[in-house]
Amino acid sequence: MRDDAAPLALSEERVRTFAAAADRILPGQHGPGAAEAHVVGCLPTLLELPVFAVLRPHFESALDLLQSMARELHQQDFARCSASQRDALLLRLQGIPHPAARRALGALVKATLMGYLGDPVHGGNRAGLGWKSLGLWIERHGGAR
Amino acid sequence: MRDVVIIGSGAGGGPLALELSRRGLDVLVLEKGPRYERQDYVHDELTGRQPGVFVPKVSEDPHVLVRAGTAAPELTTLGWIGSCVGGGTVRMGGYFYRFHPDDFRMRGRFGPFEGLEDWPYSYEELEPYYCRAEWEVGVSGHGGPEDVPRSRPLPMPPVDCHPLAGAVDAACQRLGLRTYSTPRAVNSRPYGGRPACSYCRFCGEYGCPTGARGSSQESLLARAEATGRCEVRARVMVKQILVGLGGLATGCVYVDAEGREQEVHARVVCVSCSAVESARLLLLSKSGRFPDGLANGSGLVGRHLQFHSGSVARARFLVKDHPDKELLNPNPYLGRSLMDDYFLPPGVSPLAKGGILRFGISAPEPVATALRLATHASGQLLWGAPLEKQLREHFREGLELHAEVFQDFIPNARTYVELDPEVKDRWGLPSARIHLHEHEHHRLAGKWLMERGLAVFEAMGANELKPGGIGYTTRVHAHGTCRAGNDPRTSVLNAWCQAHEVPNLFVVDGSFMPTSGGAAPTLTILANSFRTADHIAARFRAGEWH
Repeated sequence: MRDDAAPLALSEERVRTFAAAADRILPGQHGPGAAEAHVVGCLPTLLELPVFAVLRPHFESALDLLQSMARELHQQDFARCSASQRDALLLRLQGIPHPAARRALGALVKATLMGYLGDPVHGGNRAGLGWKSLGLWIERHGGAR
Repeated sequence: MRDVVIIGSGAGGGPLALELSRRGLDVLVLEKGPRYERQDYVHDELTGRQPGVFVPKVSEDPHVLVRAGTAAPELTTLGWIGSCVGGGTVRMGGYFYRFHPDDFRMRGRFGPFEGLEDWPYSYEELEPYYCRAEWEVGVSGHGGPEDVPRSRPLPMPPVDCHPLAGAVDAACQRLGLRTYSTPRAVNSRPYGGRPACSYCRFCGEYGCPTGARGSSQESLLARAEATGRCEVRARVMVKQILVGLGGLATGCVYVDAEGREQEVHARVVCVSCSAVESARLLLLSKSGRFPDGLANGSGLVGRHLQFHSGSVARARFLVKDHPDKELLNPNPYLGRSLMDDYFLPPGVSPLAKGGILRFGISAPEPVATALRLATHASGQLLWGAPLEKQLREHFREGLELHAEVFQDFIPNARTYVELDPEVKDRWGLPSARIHLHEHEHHRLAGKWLMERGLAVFEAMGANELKPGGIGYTTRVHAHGTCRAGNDPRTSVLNAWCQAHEVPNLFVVDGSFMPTSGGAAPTLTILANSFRTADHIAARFRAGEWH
């Protein structure tokens, strides 16, 4: 059952931050990364999943923390920062010695992986690029690979 | 007035529905959950088995768990097997083992031990029904341990297996162990009007979208409905079984999907809601004659609850060190089992009982696996190039195997079901409260069995041995709550699963089982149901209930 107090969609700002963070979580160094696999496309499904409801507050915290650190240190949105700037900000988030920060980064990594490896029908893992990077293919309605 | 009403449509209800409708009886099956179709059974890690699909959500329809030694009850999904047409068989892996002859006489073999009791019939009496179930559902495999005799071969040869199966055989042979082909309720060729398996990389916990796996829905209910004499009604919740002045069951009351109460009248009532829920239904069915619940004069309904105790060993094999073994072949079947450890040597546990070790290939499950890999052994979260490297290495450079065993859950006085004093289900009925105490045998036997699995992997040259969980209580098997026996003082049901106190009431799921066996119970539940179906049909033929 959906919690009616939580908005159905994520704000555009948070979506952009997520895409930019996912791009560094799976940067595509040896094959398609999160950007090429369009991880962010999976968001509508993720937001509806009961298992994600538990992660969502931490996921949003991560996005908000990254954004506020980017604005403070680089005077611009996280999504506009360079790759190395975004890596440094993610490391900074990882370095915060507080369980809430760890949960936040954890939720962000989980959301990225769900968008990278979930069925393409949900909008992420475009053309199965995530699966293909691992040598896998999964038929939605049975079938071999 | 129906001839038979069957409450629950899983491994217990399916054989009854098929046999009785085939014999010309008018059968109504009432199922609490929805009816899914093949196209609903998607192989989707994110949505294919989430809360509410096969098992009710805790927020809507909870059970309550009280662990021995703790005060606080917790809401749980423990004890739900499958709430949909076909019950738990819709999402089973379909491991169709027979029990050993001594499972039917645990007290005879081992003497008094906690709540162990002999079954009111022997393996030999059930054996023809094991054959019946194997042929009606469609089981593939070959041979089996010599001390589990069979009068008829399996109807289908084994599914094709991964090249590693031969390596399992060879390693076990070197250790003096005898592997056999894991019997599966999976079509290795077209059977029963359903196709052969498509060798997908999913199976247990997901529905089967091709119909190749022999669920109660696919292999039994479909044919029952085709007789024209069996109706399956989904989304109806039975609240109470009705009893007449003569002390016979007369039918039941249910709430339909629109919230309306309806009454059904039948000559015979069969309950097959799985052990926790069947007990709950009897306990809810109070009347003047049965103030403690229907057929519960003994006070034993809900007692002797048993789940299973599970243990698992895993191992990783690297492609570079096993170049000859085609590790990355996508065939999902390892298909090997060992019954050598079904009984334990002295000194392992006060009860020398083990279980069947089942060797399998861990499903890729990319999302779940990636989530696990993202947490480094040190506890540090992986991201960036190191995460990508970890993912690619895991999936492209090696393969994980597992060895799993379901051991007997020891029936004991502190594990039982009762009606919860406070928590209600969404129909306002008291939920089931499960009291749970795990005997230390689960851990002692589980540790030993898990190490036996590791020993086989070591003999196969595994690169990494990974000890897994020991003696955990499983969520997918439930038994014992309406124990069958010859003495009405110590059992609820007789050898035909007829309630001692109510001659036209039968409980035909795992509830009847005095002991839970060292293997998945599904085939045994099906076989027993076919046996009871024959008995009910014979009594109708003799004019008993008309």
